[in-house]
Amino acid sequence: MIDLDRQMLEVLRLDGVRSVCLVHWHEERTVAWHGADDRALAAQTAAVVRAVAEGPFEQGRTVEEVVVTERGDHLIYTVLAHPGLCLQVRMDRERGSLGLVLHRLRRVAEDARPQLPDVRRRRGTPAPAASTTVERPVLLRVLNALRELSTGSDRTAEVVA
Amino acid sequence: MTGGARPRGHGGRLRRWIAERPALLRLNHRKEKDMANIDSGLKEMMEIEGAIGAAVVDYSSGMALGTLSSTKSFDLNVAAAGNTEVVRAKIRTTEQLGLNESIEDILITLSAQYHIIRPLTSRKGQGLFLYLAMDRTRGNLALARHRLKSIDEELDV
Repeated sequence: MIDLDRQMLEVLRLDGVRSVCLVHWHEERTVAWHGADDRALAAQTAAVVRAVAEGPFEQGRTVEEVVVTERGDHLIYTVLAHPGLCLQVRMDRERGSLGLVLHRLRRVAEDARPQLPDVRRRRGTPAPAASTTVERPVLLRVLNALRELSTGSDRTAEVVA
Repeated sequence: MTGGARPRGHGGRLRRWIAERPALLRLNHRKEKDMANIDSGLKEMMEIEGAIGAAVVDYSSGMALGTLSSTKSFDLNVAAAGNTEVVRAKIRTTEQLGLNESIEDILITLSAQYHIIRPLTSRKGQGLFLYLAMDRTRGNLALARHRLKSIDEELDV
């Protein structure tokens, strides 16, 4: 999360991008913004992302992004792994490439994901939300202990920090 | 053409009675044509590479006018209702902001699927949207958007 701000500025530099906002869609507010002042759009972003994320049509599948194309602009909402946060990007339809901006935003979302060891979840189960921050070494110790418990599994490799 | 009571008998007389009233025929013909049009539109949508479900949805009620799907794994009527909420959220907040923006389309990327919503642009299609669900690995998003645009132009609801 530390250099999310820098990455937002990099997205803003792409051709056609007018504004990049970090929006907390649970609280309907803009956390950080660059470019044109589109803070007023946060309420709309929150409403649309909530309708998608809480809609009945996708149980267990995660929403990655929503693109709303209007007459003059593309509005892009990239959902970040951190609960409640998404990037709201407004770009000119006529200038720049939507494909390029989406590609760049996917990388930002990828980087913003917390770097945890590769724990495979069964497909379709939602990610558990962390309520507190825990030290990484503690997490690794717990994980290794859990793996020792599962006998008969062919996964025996140690996790190293 | 005059009014008069509808003949009670079957066969020839009734057919003739109907044939003498072109307004009735037009009505019937229009109904069949509309159905065929939605059906053929849905079929065209399903011909798009990677398509797993297609629907024409009325977003004032959330009801689907027609659906077509290649998989039983999700219920298109439920998805139509869910997407209605997305369109409504967008329209409602646009009005609150006092903006005069019309939506061309909405793309939703999920971990395994693309969903595309496209409000119909024709006068008769007002209040309706096309909805296409696609498999993310097989589908081509750019091509699908392009095809939906031309289906929207052809579709006469």
